[in-house]
Amino acid sequence: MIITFISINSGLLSGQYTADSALSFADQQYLRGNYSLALKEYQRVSFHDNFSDAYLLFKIGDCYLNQGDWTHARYYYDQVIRITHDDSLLVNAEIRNISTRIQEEAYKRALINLYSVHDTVYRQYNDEINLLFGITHFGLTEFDTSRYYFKKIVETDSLACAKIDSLFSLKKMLYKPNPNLAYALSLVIPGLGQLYAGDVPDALNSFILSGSLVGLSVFVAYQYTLLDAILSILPWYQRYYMGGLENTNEIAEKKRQERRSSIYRATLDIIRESKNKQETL
Amino acid sequence: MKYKYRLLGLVFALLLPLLSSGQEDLISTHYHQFDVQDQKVSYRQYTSTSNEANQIFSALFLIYKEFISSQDVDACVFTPSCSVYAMESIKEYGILIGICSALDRLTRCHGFAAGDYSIHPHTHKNYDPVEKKD
Amino acid sequence: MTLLRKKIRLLVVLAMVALPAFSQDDNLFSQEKIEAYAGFLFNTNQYGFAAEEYERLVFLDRSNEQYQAKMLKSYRFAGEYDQGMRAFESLNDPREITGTDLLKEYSKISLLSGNPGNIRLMLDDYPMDEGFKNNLDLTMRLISYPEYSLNLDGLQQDLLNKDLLDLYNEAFNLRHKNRFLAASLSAVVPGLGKVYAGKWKDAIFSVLFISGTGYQAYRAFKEHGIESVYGWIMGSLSFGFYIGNIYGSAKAARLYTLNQNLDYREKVVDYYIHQY
Repeated sequence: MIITFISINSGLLSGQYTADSALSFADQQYLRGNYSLALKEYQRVSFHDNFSDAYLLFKIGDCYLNQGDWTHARYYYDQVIRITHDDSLLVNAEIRNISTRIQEEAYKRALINLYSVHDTVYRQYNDEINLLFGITHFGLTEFDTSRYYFKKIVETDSLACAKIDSLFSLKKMLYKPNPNLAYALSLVIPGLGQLYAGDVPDALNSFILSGSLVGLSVFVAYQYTLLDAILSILPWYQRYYMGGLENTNEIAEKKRQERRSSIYRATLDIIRESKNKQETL
Repeated sequence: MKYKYRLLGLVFALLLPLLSSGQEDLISTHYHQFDVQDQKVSYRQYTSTSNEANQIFSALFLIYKEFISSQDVDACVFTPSCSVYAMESIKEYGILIGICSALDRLTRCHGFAAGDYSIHPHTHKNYDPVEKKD
Repeated sequence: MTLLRKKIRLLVVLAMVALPAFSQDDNLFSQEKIEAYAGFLFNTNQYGFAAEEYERLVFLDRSNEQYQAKMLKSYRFAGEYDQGMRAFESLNDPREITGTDLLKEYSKISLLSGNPGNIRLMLDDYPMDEGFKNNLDLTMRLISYPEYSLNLDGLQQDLLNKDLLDLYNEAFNLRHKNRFLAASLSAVVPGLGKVYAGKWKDAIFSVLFISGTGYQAYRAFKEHGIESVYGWIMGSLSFGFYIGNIYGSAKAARLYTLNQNLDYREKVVDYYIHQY
């Protein structure tokens, strides 16, 4: 604290803006959430230092990360990984790299990064890395592999392991409703697929709309001619029939995703709870 | 460049708890990774109730959106879609010109429209909003 | 305790005296360091940041036109034309520009910001290279078209850039579509107004819509008489599409002219910026 005080003071007294004052200014702005200002000052110090300091590169990466510019953030984290000898910086750079890949749903890319994580990092921070492995495999819908990594995090806690096992054994939750089956059902009768996926209002909507268009075309065919019915009603029937099919697929997909998501969140809750318990012991 | 950062160590030590985002933080970051985004939009914003005619059109529009358009294929080539365009132009220009403008829009809504309009960045459809009155 | 305090006090005093002396070249706000950093920012496409740093330099050394030109260029590359103009004009009078580099940068950002009033004034009495002046003058005339009519009066034709002269001739080939004519054409022959406005694909579809609904109305009335509900529905739709097409033709003609003028202006500004 004293040193900080002195260096800022000396900087002000002599009208100087030194690397130290730039850094403390940047840190302040960073903590306040002014990432753009912080970025400029971290870069200034780093530029005059020939970008040789890993800590500064890491902070530059963080500024980009917080501004949502993940491409630039990863560029700087990669620089950190290349030059740093500090395990803590190294692991944080690796984790942020992988974490942004996962958030972009680029799971294969995340997996490549995960497999190239330094061994020293893996040994020291295996919980974090296993968690990222678990999430990545979950995203790739490789649920057995995902379960393996999630369980590894809590391997000393047999109760938590059992809970995760029972969650992942709910095949109905992970694989149903099947969007292809729903699609096939709606192909036969409009609305049936939605009914199977559990969306009754949409099922009724689709059934009634398609049904009334069929009714209307029969009416027009009798009242006028078959040609009139084909020309004026059939195109509409085709649109709503196809629209219903698309909807069915979406509804089933969404439903299945919701179920998967609830299993995933429950797993994370179990891990969090187990870890909290260990810390209090 | 030869300066050592005198307070670097200190700052680093202070920030370390923030930096080494432990597992707790990592779990929070990815807790909603697989959540399903609810994309349901409210179409009420496009309706207008300034007079009886507008109220009728607004009601028809909402019924259409809720029960008919929701079952349709994604056929309209524009952003905003033809029905939203119709509501907005009635709101902007009144019933008569609004309907003319909407019917004209319907005839322009075809598969060969690409190239005559700019592309909307999010929907990747032809961008053709209702012009505001000067 | 007292020992520690004494030590601290000593340290403070030492630091107060020694640090400024040590860090004489550690000042990150020295002119050359700011300049180096600004150059780095510019080269790494961080134009917004670069503009701020060059602005700092302009503030330190107002007589340096290099800094001013680079500041304007950074603002231009960052796409912040109005802000760049403000930053420049709050510190300088454009009539005091002496170098061509700065004059060119200033004219570019003025053209892009759509606010070239000062440039127009400077053309009257500000001394500049004759060749450059003539071409800048012509550029200004081209971007004012069609609000102001176009001529080469008062320009030395032998000094004019050939490409700019081509653009000058191109202006006379711009077709200004009349919206009343478009509407009338569509009223007489549905879709013709759209063809006139350059939208022949839309014209085909309007004709299909109008004739399709019209034909169905005709059939319904023919078979079921005037009380046919289907006929009335199709008939009003057909009429609606007909009126809509007239309205749409007028709109298409207006937009055709508007977009054509905007495109032309953009082309002129683009040419100037890359040529000078």
